[in-house]
Amino acid sequence: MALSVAILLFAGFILLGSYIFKDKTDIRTVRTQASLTTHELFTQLQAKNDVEYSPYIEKAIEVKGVIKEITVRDGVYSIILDGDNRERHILCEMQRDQNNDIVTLAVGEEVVIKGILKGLLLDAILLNCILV
Amino acid sequence: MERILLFFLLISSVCFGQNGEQYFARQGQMTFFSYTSVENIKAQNDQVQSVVDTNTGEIIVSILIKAFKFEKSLMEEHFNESYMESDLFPKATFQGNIIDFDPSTLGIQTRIIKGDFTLRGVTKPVDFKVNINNLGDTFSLEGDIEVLVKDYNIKIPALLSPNIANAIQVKFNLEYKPYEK
Repeated sequence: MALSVAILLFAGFILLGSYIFKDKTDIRTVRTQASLTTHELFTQLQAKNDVEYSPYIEKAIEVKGVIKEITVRDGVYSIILDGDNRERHILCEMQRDQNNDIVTLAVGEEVVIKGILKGLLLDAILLNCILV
Repeated sequence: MERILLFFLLISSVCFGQNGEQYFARQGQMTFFSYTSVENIKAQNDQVQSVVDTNTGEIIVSILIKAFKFEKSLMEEHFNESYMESDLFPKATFQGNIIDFDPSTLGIQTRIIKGDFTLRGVTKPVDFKVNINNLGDTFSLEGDIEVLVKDYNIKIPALLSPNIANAIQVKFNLEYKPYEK
């Protein structure tokens, strides 16, 4: 009896610990909800009555676009894709495991990026991104 | 949608309406800290966007709440779902003026910013000190502000109240480049 309680308690602690300290999202394991061009993404976001309730917010999407700029800060790269006009772009913060592939990219190159759409400020913002 | 339109209108008025010098921060950093004896919590957002008109000193800052990253996923879930209700209130915004900003002075100048900060649909007047490092064609703006949880109707369950500070320390660092028209 005591052994069973101890096993149950131990299993409970393991489950609780794995919940509290569970790993960050690995985008590879998340199902892609939509594959869009940058133009299609902005068109769809702006077509909604309220962009903040877009069905793609907090979902994994793939976006095809042309690289406008690549930035890096504290070892984390971001790829900025040309948007639907010169003012609005798509800002993709990349996962660290993409660094070796990103350094081979150049401005003007077309890429497909998968990430979690967080929302729209002036730019559309995606986090946890990977190159597809 | 109204907030998006407002952001565009504000940017349009700042950027195109007054023949000012417009600067844009695309990847501003904002970090918040909650210090208690039970737990220290830190989160960082590297996608804060802001526009400054250096002629008028007008400044607009927009922050996606869901873009804050935490050390632990569970904290991030609680922050978005329970405390900030970020589905309902996805953005925080600030609109104000940098008082006596002199864009012709190179180097560091300390100034006061006054304006309205909106969080969870609650707008409060705020003022705070910033250090502006003017490099000529670019400049950075860094400082900190204290946000009181009770001011913005952030509801903390009694069980968790020892874990969350009543006053949240917020630090920011925004790097501005000329806005591309």
